[in-house]
Amino acid sequence: MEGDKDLIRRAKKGDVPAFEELISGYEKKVYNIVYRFFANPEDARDITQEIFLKIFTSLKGFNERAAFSTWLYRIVVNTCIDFYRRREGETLPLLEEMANNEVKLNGRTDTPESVVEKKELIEALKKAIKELPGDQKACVILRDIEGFSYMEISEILKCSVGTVKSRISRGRRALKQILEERELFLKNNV
Amino acid sequence: MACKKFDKIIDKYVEGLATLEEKKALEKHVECCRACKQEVDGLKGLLESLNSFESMDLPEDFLPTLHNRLLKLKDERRKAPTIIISLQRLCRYNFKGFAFGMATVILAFFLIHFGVMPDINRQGAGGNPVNQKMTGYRSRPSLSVSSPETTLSASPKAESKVTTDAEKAYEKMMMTKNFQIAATTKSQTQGRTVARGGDHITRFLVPENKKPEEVEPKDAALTKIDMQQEALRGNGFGVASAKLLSQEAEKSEELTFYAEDFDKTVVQVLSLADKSDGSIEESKIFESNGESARRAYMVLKVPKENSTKTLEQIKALGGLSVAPGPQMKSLTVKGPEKAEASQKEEALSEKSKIGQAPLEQSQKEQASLESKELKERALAQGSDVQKPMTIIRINIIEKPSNPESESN
Repeated sequence: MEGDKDLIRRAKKGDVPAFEELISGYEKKVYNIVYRFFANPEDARDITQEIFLKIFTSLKGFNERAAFSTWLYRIVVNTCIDFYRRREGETLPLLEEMANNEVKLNGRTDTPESVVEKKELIEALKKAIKELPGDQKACVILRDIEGFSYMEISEILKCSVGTVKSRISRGRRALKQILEERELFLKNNV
Repeated sequence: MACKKFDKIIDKYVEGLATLEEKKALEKHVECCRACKQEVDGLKGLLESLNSFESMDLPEDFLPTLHNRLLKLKDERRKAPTIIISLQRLCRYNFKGFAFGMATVILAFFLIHFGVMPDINRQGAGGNPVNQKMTGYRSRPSLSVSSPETTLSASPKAESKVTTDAEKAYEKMMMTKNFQIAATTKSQTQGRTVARGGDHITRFLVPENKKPEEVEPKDAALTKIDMQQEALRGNGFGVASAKLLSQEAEKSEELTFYAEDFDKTVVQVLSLADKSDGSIEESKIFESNGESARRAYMVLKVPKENSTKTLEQIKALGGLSVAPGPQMKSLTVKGPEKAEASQKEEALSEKSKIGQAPLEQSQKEQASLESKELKERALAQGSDVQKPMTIIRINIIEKPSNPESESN
C-alpha cells in the first residue's frame, strides 16, 4: 500500500516507469473488460490504450481516498460507456452474423456438435451483451464475467449494492430474452 | 416469467448465494411451477456460459505501444501549455462537445463582429456602456457628443426641423447661458447633448402629452449620465463636472413662484448664481402646451455662506412670501388650466424677437467669458477644494396675462 502511494506520487509527477509499475497487473483485466464491451479485439486494444493514457493524465485528480483499483475501474467503465454511446449510430451486422449461428442455452453434451454449439453460443452472447443498456452491461460484465463482488461494483459505479443487484438481475433477464428470441427466430427460419 | 415471490431468490439461487431455507423453498416450488423452473434453468445456463468466457491475452505489441505513447504524451505535456493539452484531450475524448463549443465561440464572434448584435458591437468598438444605455433610453442613434470636434456635426440645424423659428431664436439666446431647454413639439421625445467649449448644454424635446414633472427626473438623471460620461472619457471638464455632481451638498432648498416677465426673471435668477459665486447645475424651460403655462426649472449650487442672501434675492424677484424648505415641493402652485396655445406661441415669438436683438450681441460676448469662468470654476471645485455648498431648486411659472385664471 505504501509502495503504491509512492508510485502514485511519482506517477503524478509524470514518471512513466512508476506509472507502468503502478498499472502492472491491471492491463489484462482492463483489456478483457473493454473486450466484453465491444466484442472486437482491435477496438479493445485501441480503447484500452486510450484508457491508460487517460489514467496517466488524470492521475493528478486522484485524491487517494478511494482505492487506486476502484478509481481505475471507474475510469474504465465510464470510458467504455462513453465510447459505446458515440458508436451507437454505427450499424452492426449483428443479425446477419447471428443467422449463421444456432444458439441453445441448455445444450450440454460431449459430442463435437455440442462443442461447436457452445462456441457459437458464446459468440452470440458476446454480441447480445453489446445490445444491453450501458449500466446493465457494465454490471453483468463486472459481476458475471470478471467476477467482481457486489460491493466492489457498487464502489466502482458509485451506486448502492441494491442498485447493482437490480441492474444485474435486469441485465441477465434481458440477455436471456435476447438469446431466446434469436433461438426462436432461427428455429422458425430453418 | 417467474413468480414474483421467487424472483429475487432465483438470482441468489443461481449464484449459489441463497440461504438453506430459500434453497429448499425454491426447489419445492420449482417442482410444481413450470415458469419458475424455466427461469432457473435459463439463468443457470446463461451464467455457466458467461463464466466460461476465456480470459483474453493482451496483444503482443500492447505494452511497447503503450510505453511509447506514454513517453510521447509526457513530452507533449512538457512542451505545450496546459490549455492546448486540455483542448487535445477534450477533442480526443468528447469530440461532439468540443465541436459544439467551438461552433458556439465562432458564431458568437461573427454575431458580435459583424454587427448582428449592434449594442454589443458598439460597446466593443469603443463606445462605453454608459453611452449606449443613454442613447437607448432616448431612442436615438449615438447623438450623445462630448468632444468639441463632434459638436460641430451636431449642429442646431438638425434641431430646427422640429422647432419653430421663435423657439430657435429663443434657444440661441438661452444656449449662451448654459441652458437646457425642454420644448413642446408634436414629435416624439428626442434629445441631444452638446459640449461646447466647456459649456454643457442639453436640449430635450419633450412629448406633448407629458407634463414637465414627469420628464424632469429622467432628464436630470440623463444630465448626470452625460457628465459622468464625460468624466469617463477623460475630458478635463467632464472630470470636473462629474466631481461637482459627486459632491454631497449639505443643504437643499426649493422655491416655486410665478413671474410676470418670465424671461427676465429667469435671466436674473441665473445671474444671481454667478454673483453669489455659485454655479448652475441644471436649467430647463418647459414650453406651454396649451394646458399648462411656461415653466423654468433651475438647480443652482451656491456656497453655503451666500445661500441665505441668494435665496432672499430670488424670493424678492418672485415676490415670494413662502418659506423655503424641502416641503416646498408639495406647495408647487398649479398653473392656469386653460390657456390658449396660439396666444402662447405669439407671446413667445414676440418675446424672443424683442429679447434677441439687445441681448444677442452682449450674450455672445459674455458666452465665451462665462464658459471660461465656468470651466475654471468647475476645475477648481473638482480639485481638492471642497466648500460646503447649498443646492437651490427653483421653479418659475409664467404668470398668465388673464388674472382670472390665477384663482388657483
